[in-house]
Amino acid sequence: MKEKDILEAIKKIVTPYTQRPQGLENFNEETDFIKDLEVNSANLVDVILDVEDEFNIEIDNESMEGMLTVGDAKNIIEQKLASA
Amino acid sequence: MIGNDIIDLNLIRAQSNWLREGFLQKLFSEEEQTFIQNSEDPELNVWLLWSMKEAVYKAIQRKYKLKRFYNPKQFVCEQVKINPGKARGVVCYKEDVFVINSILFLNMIHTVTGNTEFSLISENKNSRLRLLQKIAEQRGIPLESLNISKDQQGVPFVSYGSDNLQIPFSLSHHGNFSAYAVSLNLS
Repeated sequence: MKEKDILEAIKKIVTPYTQRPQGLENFNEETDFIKDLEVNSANLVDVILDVEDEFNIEIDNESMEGMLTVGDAKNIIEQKLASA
Repeated sequence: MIGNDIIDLNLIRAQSNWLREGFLQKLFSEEEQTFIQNSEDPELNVWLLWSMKEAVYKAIQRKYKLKRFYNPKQFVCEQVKINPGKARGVVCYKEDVFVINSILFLNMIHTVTGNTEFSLISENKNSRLRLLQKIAEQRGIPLESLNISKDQQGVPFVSYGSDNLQIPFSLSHHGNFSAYAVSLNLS
């Protein structure tokens, strides 16, 4: 799967939980789910569950711990897809 | 170390579906899930335990100057006792054990760590000023000399005058509510 497609999929997943839509305009790997998009911390788990469903992977607690930015999520998805 | 968390229950109901498959499993241990499922009001207890974890997350982040992270299962809620309008419990994080107190309203939960001297809940935007007024009153110091600052980790404190004394406090916002918790010990 291409990097661009992964980023596009993450953007689609996170959009309904985004409370600061301006953050989506300049969506890139540095985009921080909580700081830039103002995703509620309880909704981060929904982002993680949606990512699991979309990519058919399992994100363990250890991976989840560092999933703060779009780039973090992309790296975890790539790792899990590669080892699947 | 101080930490607090406020949840606007009307907003959280709109934002989160706690019955979603996998939701509880990602946030809570088996024991916590059993506690929630066997309780009289599972929904309230989902958000009570979540606010406990969030409050202690803020406290340990302050204590150890940690970078942000997301691992709710590292915070283990135990001995949760619920009474009308309030709850008590402990949260363990690695070697640390925090006593927590919560107040429960129909539309809101506010949880603070046990060393909280006083807390303030506000539904308006002037809550910063109210916080400073209350500290000025309690400590008998002029309001003008108080300021809110943040350290390099973004952890807030109240400083006064040219003095190096800092009053730690924790801040939480959600929906219509803001809440502050102010610590007993100056650091």
